Amino acid sequence: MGAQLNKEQEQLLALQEKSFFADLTAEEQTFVLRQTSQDAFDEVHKVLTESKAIYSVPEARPLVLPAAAPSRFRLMVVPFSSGAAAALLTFIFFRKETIIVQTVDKPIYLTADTVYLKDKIVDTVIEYREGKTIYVHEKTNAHPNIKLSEKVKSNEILPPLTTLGLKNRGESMREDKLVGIMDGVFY
Amino acid sequence: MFGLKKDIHSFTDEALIQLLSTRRCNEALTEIHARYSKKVLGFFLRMTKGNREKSHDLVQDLFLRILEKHHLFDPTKRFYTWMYAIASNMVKSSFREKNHEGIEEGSKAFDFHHDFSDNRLDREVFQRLLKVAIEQLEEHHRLAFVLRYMEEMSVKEIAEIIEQPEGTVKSRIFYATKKITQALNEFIPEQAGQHFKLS
Repeated sequence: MGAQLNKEQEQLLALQEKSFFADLTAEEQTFVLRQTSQDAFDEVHKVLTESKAIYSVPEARPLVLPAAAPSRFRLMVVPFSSGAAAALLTFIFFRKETIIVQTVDKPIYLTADTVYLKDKIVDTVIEYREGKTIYVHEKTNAHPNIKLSEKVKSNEILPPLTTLGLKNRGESMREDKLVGIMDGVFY
Repeated sequence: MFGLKKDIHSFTDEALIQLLSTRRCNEALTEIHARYSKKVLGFFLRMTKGNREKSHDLVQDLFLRILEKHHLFDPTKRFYTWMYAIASNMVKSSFREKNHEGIEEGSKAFDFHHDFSDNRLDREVFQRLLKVAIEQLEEHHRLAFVLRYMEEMSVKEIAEIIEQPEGTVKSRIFYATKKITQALNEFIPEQAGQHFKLS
């Protein structure tokens, strides 16, 4: 029953939908008579045409719409001029914030040392913005893990250098022959 | 003119469906109802064997379903066929419920046969017999027949509605027609002939 129709069945159905037997062409009539009788053909056509009129359809009842849930938002009517002004101000103040991000679907891996690009495809734009410098003062109470190697504590007053018995290992400038050529130095 | 609402009557069916997501939802649904309620009522009447009360309820349910499921509508397809797809599914569900309840009382064929025995086979009697014959069809055959010859849809549209290939639709129409003529011949035995030589 559910099988597909063969070519003849499809053609017969198309002719049955089309007209009564008498209104078919001679070729079509010949085809029909090979498949069924004239009376049977006409009866099917009558069934198809009469079936449209077998039910009288009344008007449908009015649609009953479901009660709408109360909305938390109230409708506010804004005049067009105010709306346009608000949109303009928003644009002026926030236009710098517009960042267009282009997403590249697939990364390109270079296989050569040097690549010459004929056309620049992507620009990287770095935007510098004014920022506030914050100085951070760090304090710690922990003692550094460094051994003091000084013999004398740094907070004690050191004795004068002459008392340390250091030998003068330098040469007197008086013996220096080059001193004479130095401007402003006279002995 | 900017700021004025576009007249709802000028919207296409598909545009009305889009409006169901907006504040003009009720207006849009009422317009769709005005356009199609009578047509789908006719469809339900044909599919429920003329049960008016049931058909009116189905029409109401159909439009509420359209409201609930409008987001599932594919805008690339026609609203008309989508609506009929919902309607035919509702009919199928209704059949399943009915099968659980039990088949309606008695065949009307006997009564009509009585009419025919008086040899008054005029158009009215023929239509009444035809109605019974159509109502006796299996649900899937009746659906294909009703959509094709009563709702006057193309085979392609029916295929879309019942989600079957066009070949299956043609086959169902062909065999539905065959069964109807067989039933008519049972009601009118003296008219019975060799109507289908095809198997």
